Amino acid sequence: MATREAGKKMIMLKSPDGMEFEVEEAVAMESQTIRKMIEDDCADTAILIPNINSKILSRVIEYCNKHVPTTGATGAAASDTVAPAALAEDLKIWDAEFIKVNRATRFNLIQAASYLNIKGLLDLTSQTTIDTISDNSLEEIRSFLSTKNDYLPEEEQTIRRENQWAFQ
Amino acid sequence: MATGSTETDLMTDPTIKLPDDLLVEIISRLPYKSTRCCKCVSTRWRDLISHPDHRDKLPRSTLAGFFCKNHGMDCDPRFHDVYHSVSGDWCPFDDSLSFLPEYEQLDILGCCNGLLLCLCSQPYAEKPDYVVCNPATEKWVTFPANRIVSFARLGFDPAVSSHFHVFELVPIKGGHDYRIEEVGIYSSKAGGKL
Repeated sequence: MATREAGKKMIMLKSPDGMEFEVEEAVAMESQTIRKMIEDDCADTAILIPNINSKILSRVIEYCNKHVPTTGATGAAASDTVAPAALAEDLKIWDAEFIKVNRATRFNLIQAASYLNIKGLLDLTSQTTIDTISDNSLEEIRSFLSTKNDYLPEEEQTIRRENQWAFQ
Repeated sequence: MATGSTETDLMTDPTIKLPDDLLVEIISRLPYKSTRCCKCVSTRWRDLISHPDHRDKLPRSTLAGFFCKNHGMDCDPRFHDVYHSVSGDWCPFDDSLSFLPEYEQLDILGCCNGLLLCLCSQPYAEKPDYVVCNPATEKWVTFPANRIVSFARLGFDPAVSSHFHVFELVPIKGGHDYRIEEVGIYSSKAGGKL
């Protein structure tokens, strides 16, 4: 985890359940929503993040910490020794581990990524859903997303017929 | 602070659903073909995908292909034009254009961004009709040509306007070259919208 270093501006993020997270400004600014607040001078000492509970918020911060571009003295040293391709590969493995969560957590992460506008996290969290939709049968999509088939039999027949080509 | 039990409930609740905007966000990342499958999932999905507000967000059909003339002697004149698809991600449509009203002869003059311009003649009719149709929606509008001999071109850019224009180039009467005497412009703004 990021340690507090002299000269780095820190931002306090508060979840609605009362937890406070102190993060580097650069990490918080991985979120375009927070970046805008900071740039517009709307952020004082602490920013309340509505609708995202502490458990999800801590995961989001974990993601941002990992993905924040390394800059400054330590960052330059790191990129000198580690090739960018290896860094990217390392991130990919880290992402794959990060996303091993249950469905409810993933849905909450999708919502958080969307609200906080973190493109990378939104891409990562929605990818499993996209893969499920692309590769599975209707029944599997419904069960994965706990969606009930509420078509009347004749309605379903019609819509299936109209879109039959897409299933081939 | 969330208590242990509510947190467990939240994590295992089978009814937790993505809100509409996020579902649209996810569906918008799918290829067009998969969005068609999604329509069959449930009425909520169908309504979301069909909603006009989401049209710009969701992928569009990359329906692409061309019509070519088939000069077989035994061919029904209405079925002279054969459609060849060049994109795999396509939606089948009535390529015989049989959704159009009955005409004795139908010639495709041109196309523009998904619309087709045809010249159609009825037997013993004084002048032919221009027909502009959208084969994907099977909608069409027709209007009479100004002269029996004329050329026409279609102008349509859905990114600019949902209306199209037909430019009718009327050659000089009895002339043997292609000098144009008159240009007629038909705008769908005044007529039907495809």
